[in-house]
Amino acid sequence: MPLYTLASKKPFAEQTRFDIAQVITDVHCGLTGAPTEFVNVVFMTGYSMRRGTILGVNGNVRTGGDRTAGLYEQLNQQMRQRIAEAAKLDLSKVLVTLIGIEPHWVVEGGMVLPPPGEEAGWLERKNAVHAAMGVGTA
Amino acid sequence: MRSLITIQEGQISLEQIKALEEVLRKLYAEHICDDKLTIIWNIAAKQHTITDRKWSRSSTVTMEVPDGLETQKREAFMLEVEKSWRAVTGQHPDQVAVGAFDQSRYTDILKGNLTRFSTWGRISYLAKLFTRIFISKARYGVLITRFNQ
Repeated sequence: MPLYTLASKKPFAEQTRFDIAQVITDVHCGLTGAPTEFVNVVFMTGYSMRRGTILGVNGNVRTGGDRTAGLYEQLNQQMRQRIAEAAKLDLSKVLVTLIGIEPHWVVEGGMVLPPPGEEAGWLERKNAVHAAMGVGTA
Repeated sequence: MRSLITIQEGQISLEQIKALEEVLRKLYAEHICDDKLTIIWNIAAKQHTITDRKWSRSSTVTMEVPDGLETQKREAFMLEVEKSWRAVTGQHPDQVAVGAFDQSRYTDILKGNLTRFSTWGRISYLAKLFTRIFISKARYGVLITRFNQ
């Protein structure tokens, strides 16, 4: 979490998919402070999009903690802008929808996710747990 | 109740999928409720998923649970699913995400996925989804589809 799914009719080239995912990671982590390892991006192709849209982006993101309504607004706007640039699309052709998810509804890395703003301590605990389990980095 | 699972193409065998499905159903019945659980496996094509800036080897398990499920019960369930999943697949803990979402929010997410499509896109998506999962059920005994149509 976050999980961003991107739907389009025609597939984007592999490099473009990779570049869009980097941009999503940059924007999400830059604005929210979430670690990059949380960010998942999935591309779906072959879908007829609603009128005027070429790329539909849905993001399931954590709510609560230090996040405000203003932050989600900013996240939506910047995400749309930067994705449009990376995909070489007009801004009006990109639709971004964010849906909030409670952090304690998700387990990643073997642990329940922390509220936004408490990631540093969570990562430390997770690394300690993984070390105790004898597993290195993925 | 519904469960949507995303796995990477070529990463998890059919035998493992069947074993995982059995474990998920058992844990769901033990921790959550006896309601019928429909599990749909969604396979992501290679180089179509990115996690932590790299091409992904991750699996994402999402499940619908009754609204307002108590936190302790929800967390115990997710942690048990995560542990059992890794026991079958041998994946690293960082490659497995498990979500147990309130039913109402899960519905919002699924609706949100469809609202970006045109009317024809929705019909086509659902038609392909149902065709694929019924064929898959007949052939393999589990409901498997793909993200890319």
